[in-house]
Amino acid sequence: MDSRSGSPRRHLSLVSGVGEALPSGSRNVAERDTVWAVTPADSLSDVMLRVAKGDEQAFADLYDAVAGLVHGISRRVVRDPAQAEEVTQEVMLEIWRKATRYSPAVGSVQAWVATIAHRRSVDRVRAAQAATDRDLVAGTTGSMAPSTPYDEVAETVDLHLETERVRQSLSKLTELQRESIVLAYYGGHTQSDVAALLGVPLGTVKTRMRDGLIRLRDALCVDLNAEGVRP
Amino acid sequence: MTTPHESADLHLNIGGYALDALDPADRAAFEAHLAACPSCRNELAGMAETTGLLAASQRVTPPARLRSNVLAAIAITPQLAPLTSSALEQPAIDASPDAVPPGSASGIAAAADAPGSAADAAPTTEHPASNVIAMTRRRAPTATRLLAAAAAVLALVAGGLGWRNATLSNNLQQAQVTAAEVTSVLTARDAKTTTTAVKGGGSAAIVSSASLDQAVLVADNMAPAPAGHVYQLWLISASGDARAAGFLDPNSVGQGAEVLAGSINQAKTVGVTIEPAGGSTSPTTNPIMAVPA
Ligand SMILES: [Zn+2]
Repeated sequence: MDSRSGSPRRHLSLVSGVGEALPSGSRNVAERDTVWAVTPADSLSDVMLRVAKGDEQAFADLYDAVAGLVHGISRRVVRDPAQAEEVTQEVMLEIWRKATRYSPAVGSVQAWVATIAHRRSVDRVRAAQAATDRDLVAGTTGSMAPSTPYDEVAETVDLHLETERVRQSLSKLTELQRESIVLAYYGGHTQSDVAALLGVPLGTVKTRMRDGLIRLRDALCVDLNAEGVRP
Repeated sequence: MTTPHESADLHLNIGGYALDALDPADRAAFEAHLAACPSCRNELAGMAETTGLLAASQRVTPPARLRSNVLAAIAITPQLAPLTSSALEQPAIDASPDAVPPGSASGIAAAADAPGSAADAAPTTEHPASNVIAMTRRRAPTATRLLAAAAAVLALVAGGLGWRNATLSNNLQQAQVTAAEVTSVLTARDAKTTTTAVKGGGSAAIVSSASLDQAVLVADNMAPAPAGHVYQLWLISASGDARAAGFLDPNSVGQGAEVLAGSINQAKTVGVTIEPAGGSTSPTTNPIMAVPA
């Protein structure tokens, strides 16, 4: 190795972190120990880093970026506007409190926020459901209010690129896949409830939820860098 | 890879898990499975991005007041310690025992018996001069305005215990839970506040939410409790029964906030007395403040 070719090569080695320079755009997946996919570049993860250090201005920026998503899902799942507002505030506070626990390694900020918002929302409706069930005499199986259909977009929903993109992607699913996902995610129903509501076996619902989500993921071109990362 | 039937069943719950559609038992079982199944973890990452888009497609701008509520609330809400923290450190608490002050009659019960208005509820047994309490009752202030005031008062949560630098400890976690409860009351839609002066100096506000059936006592500029003593909170019923509702521990600049343990809706009066360290089962001194619940 002469000095003229050695210099740039050494530079490339430093960049890639391994002895062999990689072609631009490829990922050195095989060398990586972790099974976690490296998540896509996420402009919010920088904001989250500052939030995790207690930066209140950064949190205000984060609020502006994600509050609509949080409130949209709480409105959709909880439905009652007053309760949805409470859930939205709880979720935003939880995001503040848990910002120190967020890691870009496990997913985008959007996915992390949505997970918290959805979990809080279903917890709220199921607590209410349990209270209703206690009040009613047992035996009223399958008496739950029907969920809002997925295409019944509330007049308040802010139209975004994602709205149309998701609508189109959902339309590519089979009816059973779509209904299972919509009843569970937007309706806040458990998979057992979904099976009862749709009148199909639980095992079928499980399968449809899983392969429906996979098809949806592919239709939405979720950029996860996940190829080849599986062990 | 070979998977036993049972494990294959657990794999299958991944969709339900990603959609929050598992009941608590299945959720716990799947999370245990997830910890041991790289394949599911990997798949779940993609599903979480997908459900994140399902959420992102339904954005609804929340009312503007939520933003000011939340921003005021985070100013007084501690963040969790990063998971990497391990050292345990407890805030030093100086609890040197000292002389017990005299005190017998329950001024709070008397206050609770007093009929009618807020002013009537003020204790008047000892030190009448300092007991002339300017009690203002503001109905249903906006949560925003309330929080702005409370944020100033509640600096203890962020500062007094050294939250941001604090390492993980049971005490801290308990305090964080408390802070979250405080915040939920302060941000409640029907939060209302009653302010009062405190005998011995300082001021206090009771912020209560009928819908949550909870109340928070917020204090400012209060003197530390006498050595060997504590500020004990009481919820007094219409019949005059005082139920212990926790303790207030003002920080070095006299600020404190505490959720009252018990139903505010069933209380007629909220009071504070000075009690020997450890507290009493019923008030043993005259109250330093009492306000209508
Ligand atoms: Zn698995």
